[in-house]
Amino acid sequence: MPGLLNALNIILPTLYALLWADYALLFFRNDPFAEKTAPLLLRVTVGLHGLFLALWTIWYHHFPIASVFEANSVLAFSVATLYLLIEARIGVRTTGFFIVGIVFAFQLVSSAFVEPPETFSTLLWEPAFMLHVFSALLGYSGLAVSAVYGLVYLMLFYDIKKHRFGLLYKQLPSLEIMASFTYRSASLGLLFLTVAMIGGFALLMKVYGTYWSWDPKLMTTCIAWLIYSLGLGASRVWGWSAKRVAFTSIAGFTVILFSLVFVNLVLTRFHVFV
Amino acid sequence: MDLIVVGLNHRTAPIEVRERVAFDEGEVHGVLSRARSEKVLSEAILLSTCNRTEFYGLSVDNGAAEMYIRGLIAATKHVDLAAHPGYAFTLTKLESVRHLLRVAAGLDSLILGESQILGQVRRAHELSLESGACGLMMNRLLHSAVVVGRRVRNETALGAGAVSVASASAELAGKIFEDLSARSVLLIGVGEMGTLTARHMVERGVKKLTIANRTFSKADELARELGGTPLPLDRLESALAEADIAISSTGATAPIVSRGLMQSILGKRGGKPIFIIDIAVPRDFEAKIGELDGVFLHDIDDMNLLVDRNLVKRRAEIPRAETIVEQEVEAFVDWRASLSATPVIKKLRERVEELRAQEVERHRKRFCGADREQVDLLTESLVNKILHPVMSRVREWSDEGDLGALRIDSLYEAFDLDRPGRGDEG
Repeated sequence: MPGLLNALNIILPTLYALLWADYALLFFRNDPFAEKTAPLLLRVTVGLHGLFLALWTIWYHHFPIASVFEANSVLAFSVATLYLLIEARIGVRTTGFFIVGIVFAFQLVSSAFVEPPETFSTLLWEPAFMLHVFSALLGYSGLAVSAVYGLVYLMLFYDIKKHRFGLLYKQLPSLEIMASFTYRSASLGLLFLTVAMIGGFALLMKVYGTYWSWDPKLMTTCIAWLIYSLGLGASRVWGWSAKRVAFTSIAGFTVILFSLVFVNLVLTRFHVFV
Repeated sequence: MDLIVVGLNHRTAPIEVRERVAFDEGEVHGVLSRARSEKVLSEAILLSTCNRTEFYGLSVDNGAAEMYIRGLIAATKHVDLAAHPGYAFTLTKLESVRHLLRVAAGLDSLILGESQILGQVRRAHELSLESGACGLMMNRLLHSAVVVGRRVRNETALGAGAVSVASASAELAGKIFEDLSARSVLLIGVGEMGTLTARHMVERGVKKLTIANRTFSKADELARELGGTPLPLDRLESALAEADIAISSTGATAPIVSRGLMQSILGKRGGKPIFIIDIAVPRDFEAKIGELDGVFLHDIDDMNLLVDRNLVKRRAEIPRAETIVEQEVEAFVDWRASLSATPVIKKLRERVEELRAQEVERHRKRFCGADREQVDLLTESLVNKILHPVMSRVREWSDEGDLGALRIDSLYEAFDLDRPGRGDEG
């Protein structure tokens, strides 16, 4: 089994790299081969990724959320699955290049550094803890997708404003569609992030006897939550434009990325369970 | 029998002449029925659009056919084609096939790659069928034309991108809003270009159209025609607060909407974006309005830029479209060649011999060495006896014109024979 897991750990980033190349061919060249193969390769890769995570859970007796590198793979899987659903819904494949790029990045980091832990906290099998972590990862996925669509929205927005009718204009769907996915993905992400935070506060109380800690990860997540809440709330209440929501989404995800990468790896061990 | 086309189109004749020789559907029926009854042409099709009147025929004598078609057009439309010999053109044989296929592809259109022509070719085919002037050859030719039209549209970008200001405006609107049918359009002024653009939006599904004009009666008249709501120009501000798309083409000598006015209008829109197409010269909207958030302001130069870029992209697709045309010309020629006696006899003999050899091989083990030779001789003789009368009939059919060709054609289908390709001999 470890041999198979090791093989899949190498195969997955390779497949995501191929998939990214396929979507690049589709975006830059309208390649008919890529048009046919990309959706199929996406499904195969997501399927194998799901199998990898399931086997990992069975063999190592814990869900792959014990370290940030394990969690990165769950995050990549979750973003890829969300994108698969969006692609199936809108039938437009030209945004795949942007989304699959970050999926590849998450999985590459995971595959490069992930190690099966020799020991891990029993907390990992706590239902409340699993709800907390999986909600957080689902939330991050939604927010990641939202940020990418927000970024692409802004690129096309300024192209149209400045009368540049180039590749983005030709290949991307309408601004309205991208604004809709930016908003919806962010709303979904915020919902799961809220569940994760409530679960996190409850766990904090159970384990440490307090609802609050000055843990940098907790603080950055709260800042991100505030940014998204303000942006989405303002859009709903004061009719903030899609452009502002896109900026909000990018700003929020920048904080999340900081939390995921810098805080997790450099500043704290609070959220590591090995 | 050879194919011929005689006609006038936008490359050979000016609009004044083209409009005089345009045939409506009733006239097409009449002319095709007449051509059929007078027997100079055994088959005929008349393609008449605003850019071309082209008469395709099948005849034994192309010289006589040309004279006949020219005479028919001149007599029906009272146009003296002899006085302006350059207006009408004649193409025969392979050139006439290639011409129709290029027409269907949109390669010969005034607006390169336009798609309307394919529907017009289909309609010309229907009219010919209804008039009884369409036989085996024209059927196949029109089939090839439709195949080319479809392939060029599916396999190339010859028809991609808008190439008129009106369609470019609709295309750009589609890049901002997902569903145009749910959008409200405000037309400011009833200038020709603005009206055309509004008409295009309606054709793309826009259901709510408001027309604001200084002279209310003109707005009312156009609103009746396009199914919109007329509005006096002094209510422009409230109309702009509601509209998703504004098309402006007034004859005003100075901007009618300032940056300040637009800013106050945007405050009432609740963050909704507005797409403004300012086709007027001088412009109706101050250029600085384009800097405001939530406003996509494009003037006539921007739209022309989009049109020019799309045209360049379309031109780049010409070689790919021409390749498709040549492939289908070749396929048509091969099909035609397959209708003579020699290739079908050859293919039929090959097919039957293949089946005979397969069956003999399948049962070979049941016979001893000497018997095997006898079996070969017996089956070969049997095949020859069966095929002999068929071959004789095929040779007779090849001299029987259309009906004979149709019979030969059906042999290919009945025996699942491959059509002879370019490389095949005989």
